[in-house]
Amino acid sequence: MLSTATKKKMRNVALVLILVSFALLYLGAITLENDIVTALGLAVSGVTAVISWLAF
Amino acid sequence: MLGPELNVVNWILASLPVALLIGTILWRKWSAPRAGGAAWLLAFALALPVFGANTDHVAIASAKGLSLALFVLSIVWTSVYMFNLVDKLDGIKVIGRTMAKLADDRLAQALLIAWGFASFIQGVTGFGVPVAVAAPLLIMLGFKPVHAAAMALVGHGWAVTFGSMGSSYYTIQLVTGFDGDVIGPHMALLFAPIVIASGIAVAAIHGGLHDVRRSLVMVIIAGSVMASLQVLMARLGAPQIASSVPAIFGMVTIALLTRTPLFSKEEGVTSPDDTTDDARGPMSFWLAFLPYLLLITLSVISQIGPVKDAVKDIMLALDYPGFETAEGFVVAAARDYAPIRILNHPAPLIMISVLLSALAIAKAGRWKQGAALEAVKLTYNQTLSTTLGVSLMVMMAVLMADTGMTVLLAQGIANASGPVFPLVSPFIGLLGAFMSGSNTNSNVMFGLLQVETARALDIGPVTIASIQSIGASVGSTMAPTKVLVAAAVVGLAGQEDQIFRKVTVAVLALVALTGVEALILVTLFENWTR
Repeated sequence: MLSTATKKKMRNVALVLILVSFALLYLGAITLENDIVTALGLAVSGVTAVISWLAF
Repeated sequence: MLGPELNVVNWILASLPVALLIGTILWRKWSAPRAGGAAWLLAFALALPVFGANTDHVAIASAKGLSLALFVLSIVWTSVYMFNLVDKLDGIKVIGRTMAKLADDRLAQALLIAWGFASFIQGVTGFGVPVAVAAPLLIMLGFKPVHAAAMALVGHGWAVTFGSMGSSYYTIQLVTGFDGDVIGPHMALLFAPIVIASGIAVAAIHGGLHDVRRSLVMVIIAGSVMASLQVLMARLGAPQIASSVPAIFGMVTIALLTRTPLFSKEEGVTSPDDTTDDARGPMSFWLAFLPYLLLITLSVISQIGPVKDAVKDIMLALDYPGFETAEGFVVAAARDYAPIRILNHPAPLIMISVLLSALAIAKAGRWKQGAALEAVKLTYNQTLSTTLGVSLMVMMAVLMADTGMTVLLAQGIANASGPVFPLVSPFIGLLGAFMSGSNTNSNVMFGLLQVETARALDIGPVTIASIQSIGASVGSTMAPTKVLVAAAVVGLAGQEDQIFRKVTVAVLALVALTGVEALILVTLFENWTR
């Protein structure tokens, strides 16, 4: 079980990650059309979902 | 081929992300971010092998979801911030006490605060704040805790869709793609019986049939004023104030009618406590109310033709390309998707109002050192869960829509429900709001699904989109998240079932009324509902 303090920190991390994923998804799939950046964006989104699952 | 084939296996697979979302929130009691994240991951996992999407499609759909989430969340952040700042400066107490003094009958006070004031707060902020403010105010005036909580919950249900500066309304409009000039007035008109019925429900909770009879004429008159103004605001292109302005005029009407023979007064009431720690006495009502007054004024000015035209191209928006999945589902390109227009979106207007009000409050010597920063911290903590929840749920919803899953679900429901769909439709909205605690989230999850179902059944899609949001608006007031807030603020934590029982009866009746209204309309006025 995660402590309340750890969960609180992870919630802030999830917020930062969702913003990062937005930038990576848009850049990768639309602006740069770069598969690596797109994959990275999807990976960060996935990590955000997992952190949200753990922290909220 | 127009997308994935409708068969039992595909339909069950397409329903899995929604089923996961509903199941985990209802039965596992997961929070919105937790359930939303899991549902997005499942939708992602299904989109690639089953529904013919590739990683680019998933990325584009997810980014579109985040654009849409930003559009809605910017309203959430700014409106909650404005409320918190006014509250930190003791303005909310002043506004609430002034409202209470407008009536000298307990039932009239209940209607004024639970039906009028709570709805006004919903109009300008929302997210549980109406209950958090109105219920303690009712307690302060001597109402029973269960009644205070239930009345505050049921009383503001009509104001949720156009409330929070129109965030839920804008969501259903964006998700379904209907023009605001079409769906806005249509939805507002459909809300009219619900506005009046909400007032009747508050009276019923307060004193049963006796109080319903005592206040019926007043509720019908005040409700008609509120409903007419809601339609007018929607028609004028100002949906962001289509709850707050009617609520203000509703309160004035109630206050005036309590002084006429149209309302039979019964008991004496407790005067609200005016004591304050400030040696200068309480802040004036007009200074406390200034941010909301400015917001209403700016919202109206922003709709004036020349002003609107002059700034229409100043916006924050992204373009998204179209694509076609391997299953043949075509998604059109979207230019300026979910735009945040500088003078036609509530968030910038709210911040301008906050800035001007802060200057006026400081000039009047009522500013408190550190209030702005404290309000930022409070707003951040209050909206963090909503931010993640809305973001992940909207990502899931747009991903499902852009890979053909939503259309497939709609076709399945259409085949199963047939002509009684208008009766079922608002309960789908209620379900979404109940499980997510949000009219906005419900509209994101089910808005497009409902419209596609209506189209498949050849039933008026504008009416169905409207009653989705009406069902969600009213239904959001019985969401566990809101009931928990209500129980906490009236001192009934752990006894939520008492409040829940009272609220459920009223909410189910209001949602059933919405379904009957829709069924009559799509049957008798078919062309108007399209």
